[in-house]
Amino acid sequence: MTKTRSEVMEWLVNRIAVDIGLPAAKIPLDVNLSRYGLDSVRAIEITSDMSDWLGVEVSATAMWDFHTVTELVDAVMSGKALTSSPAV
Amino acid sequence: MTNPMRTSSYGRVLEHALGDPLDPATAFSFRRILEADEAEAHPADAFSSLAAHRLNVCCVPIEHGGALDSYEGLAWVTRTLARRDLTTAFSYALNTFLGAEPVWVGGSPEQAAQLARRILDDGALVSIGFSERHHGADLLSSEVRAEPVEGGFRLSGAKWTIGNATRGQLLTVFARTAAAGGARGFSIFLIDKAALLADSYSCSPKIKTMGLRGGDVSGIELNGCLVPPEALVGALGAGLELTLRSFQISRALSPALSLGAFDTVLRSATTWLRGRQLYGASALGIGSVQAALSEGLAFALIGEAVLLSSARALHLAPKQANVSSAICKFIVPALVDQVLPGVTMAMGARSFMREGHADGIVQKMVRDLPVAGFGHGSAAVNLNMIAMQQRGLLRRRPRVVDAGSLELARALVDFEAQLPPLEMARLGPVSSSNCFVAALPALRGLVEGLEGAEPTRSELLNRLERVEAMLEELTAESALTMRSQSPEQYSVAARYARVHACLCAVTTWLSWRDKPNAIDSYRSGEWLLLGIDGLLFDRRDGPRQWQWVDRTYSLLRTLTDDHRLYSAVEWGLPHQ
Repeated sequence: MTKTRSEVMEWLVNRIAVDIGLPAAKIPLDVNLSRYGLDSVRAIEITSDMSDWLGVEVSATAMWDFHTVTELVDAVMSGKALTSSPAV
Repeated sequence: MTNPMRTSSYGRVLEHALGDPLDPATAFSFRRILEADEAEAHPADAFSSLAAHRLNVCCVPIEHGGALDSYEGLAWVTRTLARRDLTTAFSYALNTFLGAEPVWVGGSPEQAAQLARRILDDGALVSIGFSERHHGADLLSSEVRAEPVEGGFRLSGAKWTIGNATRGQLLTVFARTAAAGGARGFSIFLIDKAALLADSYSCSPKIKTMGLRGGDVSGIELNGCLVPPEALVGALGAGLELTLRSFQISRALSPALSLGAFDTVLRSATTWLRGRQLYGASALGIGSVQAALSEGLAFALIGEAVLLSSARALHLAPKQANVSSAICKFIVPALVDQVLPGVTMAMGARSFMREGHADGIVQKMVRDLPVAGFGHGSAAVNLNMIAMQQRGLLRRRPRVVDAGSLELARALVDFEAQLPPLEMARLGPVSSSNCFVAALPALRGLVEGLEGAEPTRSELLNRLERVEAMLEELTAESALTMRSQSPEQYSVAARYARVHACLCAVTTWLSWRDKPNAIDSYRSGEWLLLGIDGLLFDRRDGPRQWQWVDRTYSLLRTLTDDHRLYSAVEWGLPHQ
């Protein structure tokens, strides 16, 4: 992984902000994102984009298990949210 | 128990076993099918005939004692049935497969073995109990709930618009297992009605519908049914993920319904118009009639390329299957919808009559066909599936020749070639590549190198350049369009699906034109150009290239006169 924690955080917050239609500054870091109307299929789209941006495969359903921005970023940085299989 | 049947080769066996549907003496004749439809009656003769052929065995994977070794084979079987009757094609084998697939994909070995026994030994029909009256495809709003209790789970609530809810013996149910819901808040259960207390469930009446009038589309209300712990399919809370993984199998197969039905519409129109005398000659001599029928054939061949390659992708490219299945389920019914009005218009009033030519089968097919579109994932559902992965797919697309993608694409269109077993565990909820789109630079190289193929070669190269330009546009648009489920995003998804269909068809043509028994008017490729222009460029005023129509029409006549399916594959049809 070539990105730092803060870069991943910034990317994710911006990506979610566009998707739920709020300014990035208003995205809470420790609130369950489903409260903001982020649905499960859209969550897959975000993790798919994240894999593309990071160049490593984030589990498509990572946002189903790590519900807040902080939890997801931690899980990505620690490798818990990454899949072991290579992209085919 | 070993089973000598194999789904991979069963379509051809079944085709001849069922006989010519124009022969009123067969159980699967248009006449009997229409009698049942007129009476809104269960097509009992057709069902008995399929039970006698042990068709349910085709839905059970070989590892569980059934015949299902190839999902392409199941698509062929479905197409063979759909050519005769969509009611039966949908409600007999395919519906059982839909109900059973979450168990094949995510159930325990014991659960799968037990379900297989019920289907194989008892001829049980399985239903898929997912949709609810007020929620449709919005699965995460499902109200049916399953509460853990001593001895298992207690299920309550109603499922509605369920195929075979009343006639079926088992059903899989999507139920809320966490009060708050969410992506991990739902689970799937396999319910055997025979094991329930009689007063713990009730079936609601058959719903009155425009098409599939003899089909059992009804509902089931669960009134606190107690099911054992083993009824849970996969892990608790894994319902949504299992659904996304398993539906990609059936969404690659079910468009066989559209293609089978459309084959009959096009064949009936062609044979009727051949005998129709207008202005002193056969109506088939009229240019606009030839154009409508030819465009129908071109689209049938493109639809076939998408359908069969998507089914083969389940085995050969499971990581790509998520997007190819969604494209297949979206585009194949859409292709039929696009050309159907032209074909029925050419037939005129005969397409509207519930009697006469072929006993009036065309109007039944036209009434039944919409179900193949909205059933089991509507256009919007599948566009959403494409949309959520299109940005990455477009951005990662190779711009240079990629031999691996071409090799895979060619294997996907090598229809009926033997397939390795499907590895269910490799079916993921998102795709990272699409070999047909990735093969574009290589396909251009192949077309450039074609010898003796003018003028198709230069026309096709021009079209492939335009496809390349479209992909650049789509890449740019998808990078900008961020809001999910917006019309802009779905527009990208729909055009991406059309590009995929175009490239599937080009790959198919490049492979099948070289077969020793290819028909000249197939090999010369005008049908492909006619199809691509209808597919990619919104052309409402009819085809512009008359010689393309002429050659495609010649292919239509050859296939019709030789009693062959409208297919790249030589597939003979029984005839009286």
